[in-house]
Amino acid sequence: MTAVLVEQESGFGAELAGFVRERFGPGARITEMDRRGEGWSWETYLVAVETASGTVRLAVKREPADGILGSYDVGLEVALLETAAAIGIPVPAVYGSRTGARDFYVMERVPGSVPMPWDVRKRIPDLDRRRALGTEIASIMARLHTADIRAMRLPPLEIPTDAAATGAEEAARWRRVYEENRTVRIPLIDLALAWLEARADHVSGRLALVHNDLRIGNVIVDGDGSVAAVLDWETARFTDPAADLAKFDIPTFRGRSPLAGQVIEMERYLAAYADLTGWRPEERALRYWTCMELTKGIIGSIKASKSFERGTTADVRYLNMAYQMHHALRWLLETLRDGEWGD
Amino acid sequence: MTLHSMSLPAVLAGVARALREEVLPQVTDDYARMQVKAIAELMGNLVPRVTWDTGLVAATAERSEAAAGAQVRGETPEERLRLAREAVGALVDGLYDGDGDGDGDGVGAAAVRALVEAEFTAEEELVTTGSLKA
Repeated sequence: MTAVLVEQESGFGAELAGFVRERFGPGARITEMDRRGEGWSWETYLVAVETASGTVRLAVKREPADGILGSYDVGLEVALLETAAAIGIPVPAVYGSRTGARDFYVMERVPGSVPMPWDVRKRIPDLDRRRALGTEIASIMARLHTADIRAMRLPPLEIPTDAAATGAEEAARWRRVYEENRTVRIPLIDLALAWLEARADHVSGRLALVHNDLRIGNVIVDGDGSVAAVLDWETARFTDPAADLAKFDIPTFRGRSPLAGQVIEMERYLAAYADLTGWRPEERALRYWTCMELTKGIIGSIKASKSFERGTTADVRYLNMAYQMHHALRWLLETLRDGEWGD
Repeated sequence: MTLHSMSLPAVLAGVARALREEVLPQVTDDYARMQVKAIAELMGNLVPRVTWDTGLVAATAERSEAAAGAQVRGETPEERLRLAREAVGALVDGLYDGDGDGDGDGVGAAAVRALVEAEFTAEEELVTTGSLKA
């Protein structure tokens, strides 16, 4: 946790102080403001505000100087949170947003903690409780994927006209990001993109609103181990729901554990999901999106390190991702090697 | 795997900038502040004096040349690597349609697969990670 100046005469502190007075009354003032270090996308601040009726605790998301993934469109992010809330998914309530040098939006600070894949076993030692958490996430995912996308208004997100083309479109999108940010070609990424383009018909052919990062690490868990809120909607889009299922079991977070996200066997997770949706994807669709997610993660890392080299971010973690991506490269190599070099 | 393809002066200057702009304002202990300032200054002084390990870059380029079955000419090791990787990339681009059956066994498939394995193994010997969990 990093303390920053609470109220400044100019800059982001002043912008936020202005929002707070407007939203909570002229006497409201920020008493605590901490920039969090765990976020990789939006800049995240935890803020306490003294108001006439007591202390209000807020979470503030600010558009990054140069983000890795997603659109960082405040309007879309707020619309996604409101859409999720409307279909019964637990998300933080939004207090409002502001445009400025860099846009930001303000949410309630949901009580609880965010277990990460590498500490969830310590935080929730009992396997049955972890399985229950996994099952609850499966039910949230099922609810999201069965919601009527035709009733959603989430511009600039558009519903694809061809559900069978989601893989080809995603592969093309990430090839563009790769070409824009690489200095030298990386043979494994070249190979993965070629494979993803050649196997683009392996997608499920279904469409849903897909969170694209709904996993351990992006949910707030309350004291009982239940999901209090789903976070980080910036990569959501209308695409193949198998992508969400693959991401939940992404090997970079599973490691050598038999448990997806370190909490539940994937078979149990898929069974819980299928009970609620009446559908489960073919294995080849899951493998396709696993390869896609790993490739996206690596290309995102290339973009991040390039952003640092260009000077558009001063966050050294972005530079270090040129090394951190080694883990994803390992899993991508194994995914392609294990029977997938050819067919 | 990609870091040595980036500008080393830009990398060092960026680290120095991060220390001055992101870290230093949050450090209150005098001794720690002096350490941060010294490291930032050191980074700046290293910029004109260091290059990537040319032997390492050359070895990486050689692996790619061998896989592509082509020798490339680059004025610097980094340029040679870039060109060698382009040659491999051209091979990869044809893997899934090179022989018409789309099974990923086009010309050079075995060489490309051996290369990605070798690249990973070489990187494995160099890399240290783990800060994400800190």
